[in-house]
Amino acid sequence: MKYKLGIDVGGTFTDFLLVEENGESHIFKTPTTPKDPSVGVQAGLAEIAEFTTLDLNQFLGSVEIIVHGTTITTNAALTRNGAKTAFITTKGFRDLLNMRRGLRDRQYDSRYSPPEAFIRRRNIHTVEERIDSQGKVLIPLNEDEMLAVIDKMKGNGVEAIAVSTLFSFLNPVNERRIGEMLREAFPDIYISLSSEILPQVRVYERNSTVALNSYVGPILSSYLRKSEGSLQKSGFKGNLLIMQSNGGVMSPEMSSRFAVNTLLSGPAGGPVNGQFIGGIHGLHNIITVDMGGTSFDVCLINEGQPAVTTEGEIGGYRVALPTLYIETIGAGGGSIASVDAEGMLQVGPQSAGADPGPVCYGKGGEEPTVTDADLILGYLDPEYFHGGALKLDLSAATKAVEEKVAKPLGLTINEAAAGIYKMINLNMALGVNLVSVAKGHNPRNFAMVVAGGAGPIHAADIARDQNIPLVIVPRGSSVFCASGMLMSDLKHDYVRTYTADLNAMDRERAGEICREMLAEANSTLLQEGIPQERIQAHFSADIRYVGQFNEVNVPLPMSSSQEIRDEDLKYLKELFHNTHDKLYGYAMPGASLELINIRLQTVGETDKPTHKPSKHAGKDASKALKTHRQVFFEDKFRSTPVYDGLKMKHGNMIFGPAIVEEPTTTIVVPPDFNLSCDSYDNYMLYQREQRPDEIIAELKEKM
Amino acid sequence: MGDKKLDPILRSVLTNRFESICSEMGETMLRTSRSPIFSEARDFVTGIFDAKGRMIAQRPYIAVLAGALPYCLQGIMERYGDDLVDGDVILTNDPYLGKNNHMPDFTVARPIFVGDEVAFWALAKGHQADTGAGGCCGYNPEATSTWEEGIRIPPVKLYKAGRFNRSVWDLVLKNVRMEFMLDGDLNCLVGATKVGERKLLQAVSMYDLDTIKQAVDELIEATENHMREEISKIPDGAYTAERFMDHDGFDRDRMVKVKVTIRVQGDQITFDFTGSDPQVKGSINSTEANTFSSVCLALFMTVNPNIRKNAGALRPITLIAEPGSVVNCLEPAPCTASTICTTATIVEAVWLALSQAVPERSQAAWARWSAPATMGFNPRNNSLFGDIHFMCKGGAGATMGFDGWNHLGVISCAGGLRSPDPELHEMVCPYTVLQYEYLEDSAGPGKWRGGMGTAYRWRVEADGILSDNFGDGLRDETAPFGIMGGKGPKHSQLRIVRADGAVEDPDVHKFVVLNKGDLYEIMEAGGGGYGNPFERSVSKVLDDVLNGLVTMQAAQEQYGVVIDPQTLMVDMEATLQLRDGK
Repeated sequence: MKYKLGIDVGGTFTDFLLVEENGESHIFKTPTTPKDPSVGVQAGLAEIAEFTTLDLNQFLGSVEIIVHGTTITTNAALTRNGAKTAFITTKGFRDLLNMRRGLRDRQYDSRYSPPEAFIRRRNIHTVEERIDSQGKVLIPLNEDEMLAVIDKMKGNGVEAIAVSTLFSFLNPVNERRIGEMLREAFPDIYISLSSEILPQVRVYERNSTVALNSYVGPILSSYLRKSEGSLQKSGFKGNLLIMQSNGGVMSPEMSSRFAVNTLLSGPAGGPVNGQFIGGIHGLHNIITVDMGGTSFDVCLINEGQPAVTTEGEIGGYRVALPTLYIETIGAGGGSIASVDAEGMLQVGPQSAGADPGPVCYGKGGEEPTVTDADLILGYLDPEYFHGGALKLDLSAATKAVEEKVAKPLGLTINEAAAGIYKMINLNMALGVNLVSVAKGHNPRNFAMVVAGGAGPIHAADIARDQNIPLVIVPRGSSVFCASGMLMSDLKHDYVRTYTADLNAMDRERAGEICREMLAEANSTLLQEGIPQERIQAHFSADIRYVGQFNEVNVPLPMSSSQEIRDEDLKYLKELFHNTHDKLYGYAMPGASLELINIRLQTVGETDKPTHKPSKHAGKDASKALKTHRQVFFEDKFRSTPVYDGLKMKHGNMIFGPAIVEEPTTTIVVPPDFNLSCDSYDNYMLYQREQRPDEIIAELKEKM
Repeated sequence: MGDKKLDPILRSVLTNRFESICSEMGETMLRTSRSPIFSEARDFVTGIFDAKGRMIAQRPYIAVLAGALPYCLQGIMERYGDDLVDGDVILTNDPYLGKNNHMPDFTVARPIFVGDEVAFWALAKGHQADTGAGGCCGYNPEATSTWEEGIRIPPVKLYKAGRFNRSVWDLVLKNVRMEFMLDGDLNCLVGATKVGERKLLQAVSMYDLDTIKQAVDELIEATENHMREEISKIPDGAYTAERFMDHDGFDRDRMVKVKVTIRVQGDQITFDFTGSDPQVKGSINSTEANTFSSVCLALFMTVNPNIRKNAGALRPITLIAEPGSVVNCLEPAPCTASTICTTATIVEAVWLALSQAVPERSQAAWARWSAPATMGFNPRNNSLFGDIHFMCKGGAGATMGFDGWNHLGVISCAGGLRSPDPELHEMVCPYTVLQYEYLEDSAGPGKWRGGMGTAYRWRVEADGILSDNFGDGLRDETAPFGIMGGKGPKHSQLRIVRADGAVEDPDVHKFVVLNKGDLYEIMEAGGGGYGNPFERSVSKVLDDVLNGLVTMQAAQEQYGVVIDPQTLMVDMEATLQLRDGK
């Protein structure tokens, strides 16, 4: 027997998804051990080995691929526990990193502090050197000054260094020389250069990205070294791959070098899994949503391509490498409900988190949360939360909602709880609106794939608000990210700034840039064990109307030998105008266009687990019926059937109102919705008057 | 409707929707504008209004623009009254006929019809790179009337019943130099109001118009009550203060006074500017709209920052500003520099007065703006360029418990102005930036110090570039003040070193032509401090010294902290002695 294993180290739980050769999968969870996450991982591996009735060595010996997602860098950045990092930049520009472009989010609030700097000013050094805006050396590197800086850093306990100089993306000669001198002086220290990590215009964004790379690089590389070592010691001979913020995976070596690329990788498995789940039905327009304890992550996949952004952010600083564009809203099961000074009900972004958590957890929480409201409304069963592992305190939840929400608003407890439910759903719906309508997409043409324990309780309402015709809740949706990881391909992103008027651009030079990037990409993927025939290259261009300051990224057509022909250029322009129109509601055909960056994403296809469809078991779901309970819908409690999800089979159908329970997930089917199980036993939710096959056919037509 | 209150949940839901509509309008503008003043510096605002012209919600990227929107809509409504049909889009920049704050801020308003009636308005307003006439990016220090400041656009219809009105569009575009940029940015303003319309109509179809109207009534009333509650927390009384502007660009030896008396009585607050100077010859005159907006900004930053910014928040505020004065100028007084100079001076006067009443909620002054707009021809890419040197944002003032933020900028923007990227700046303009970083010892000392100011130096790489510093703050009297024992920093300093070595003072409100090889140097002040600097925590002072923000000499003289230059440790004994002595 051969296995594939996904390991997702989250904040509270470490999720494992074991997939057997025949596609059968099993879920395991162990508590995360924040001090040394590898302890929790080891515990989980031992448990899985036991399950397979093999000893650890035999088991790991038969695992072909481990895909590992870790938030170790995310946590280090958020808690400012990264390496002691020095930063070197051009003389005269010492503070561009910590100025953060001089913005304060809460404009009217003068009583709070800016985000804490990752690198304090005393560790930011400047040296004389300058490249001009044409890429010419204006001032060569002053090596004496550089040596003085090196002297200053020695004995300073520096653990990592980041270098970013002005216009190094046009001409890296000075920056490289700084790098050489540093590597000579500090052979054992983690060093990254902006021209290697992100050779792209915009100096703060570049500074911040490379600074973060060095800040978390040492931690990630030592963790990966250790993990790889201990896995190998325990008999693992397969491929270890690390989840990245762009939705792809990388080898541990590449991942250590581009450590910044793991900072936003936590939710990145979700969209990949959503793509797979949608793909089962031939759907490639998907919105994935993941509702956890404190936040709601939403990502839009258009024609099979998840939205990507270069405007990621962590701890108040920017990550400008391409990452999946996942909008995070402060809405989760732990979101706190309160009434503000203007008598408006507010739900979130403050959260009770997992500790103390909602009032009903009985762990000292005093502020009413979304989970408390869900409990009052009968969506959750106090006796069957996490399969009965945690008993929920309904009377405490009721009291909190009464005092903090119902009384101040002059509502009954049930009205208040229903109000909390409605508000949190609206906040999430507006999050969906942000990634769809605000970016030129009509949610009507998308199916929504819902992950996370709390998500399926709220999904139907969100779908109704945004006119999304179909909701899919995957089986085992609480390990959604771990399943996505096993579906991920190796992905590497490259960028070169090349600014030119599109009509006057030197196409020969552009082609050369493409070939350079491709050669680098191919050699990286080959080293990672991907044969040439499994490599796909996607070139794209960041283009804008001359004079604009924001670019639009569009695919860059070219010949197989990376030549940009007349017809390619013509097509590129059309593509740009169309995309601009779709995104922003207008285009200016005829206006001149300006190329800013050329990008390459290479995809090295990995072996995916195969899944088998199950047999149609008929519409009748009565075998899964557990009981009836009082559940609040619209404006009153109704006796509502409760089904055992584990007993539901392909083809089974349920009319709303109903509740479907799995040990870690509850699905709410409102009165105007129906639910049925697809051929992979995933649940499909849709408005009552429609049929799932018709909805899917319509969605396909719109693609 | 009747007396019955709306379900509070529905009211909350609609309030969230209104706010998200304004954000989406803003997002559209941010992404699509051509001028860096819009897209990089985010010098714009979006808002939605009801049929009566009451502000429902807004998204101010530039805080001082928000309070000016309602005036502008009032100007438009007065002009058009019933002469509106579905599909009309109105443009104005006129400070008098359109009640606009100043000419570079073009305002686009779209009446939104439900049936035959106007139910709402969507507005978007933003600073244009060029407004024609004799100005430089809209600033003309030589203007003595509004006609010299740019093309004057009373409220006109850009679209009539949905039909594009090419005559108006062309007339406007042909009166500016950077036609291409304005064309793009007008499209972008129109696009934002279209987004507002779409979203509001969607809300109407979901909830019906009467419900939304009632929600708006209740929202505005709730916000008004909240504002009144906050005002009640300010002790009753009259509080007076005065601040100055450097000069008006003509009489360079005469500072221009803004005086305010704030009278608080229960939940009412009156800002009485009697005693301020009469309107002046140059462009630092403020219209009533701009004065009111500046007052709102100063007040909003003092009371609970979470008050919603709708018509309700404005209601308890009374403004007394004598017509013909520098804070309520009359046609045709020039007024382009008012959103920077006069706004800062008004805000400072209000804060200084309020610090007598509510010291715990007050703040020290921010650095005034003091940097040029420049415009010319860039031979590197053969095109015209215009840009405002937003790099030299100064420091913010300190508050009780918090240092001022560094490099946060001019108060009109309240931290919403994004500093430009120096690389993109050099790629568009014929400049080489030599220095752009914090300026040592630029923060006003205090128990909580002001934010750091900025050292910004650049070399000019082309000939014949027109510049105008439309700010001020180059004198001791106009430098930021500290409060509650905190000190103000040294005032900002500017100079031009010509290619031949001659040194020149660009002053403010003065056209200066820059040529290849000239060096422009700006040492922009930090913010004012709060509380006695000798009470600042010793470790914070040491931190500032180790970080190179405060020199050892300043640490000793201004903070009473003695640091050993060899060990870089605090000499506690000498420090205590020094601090006790004061």
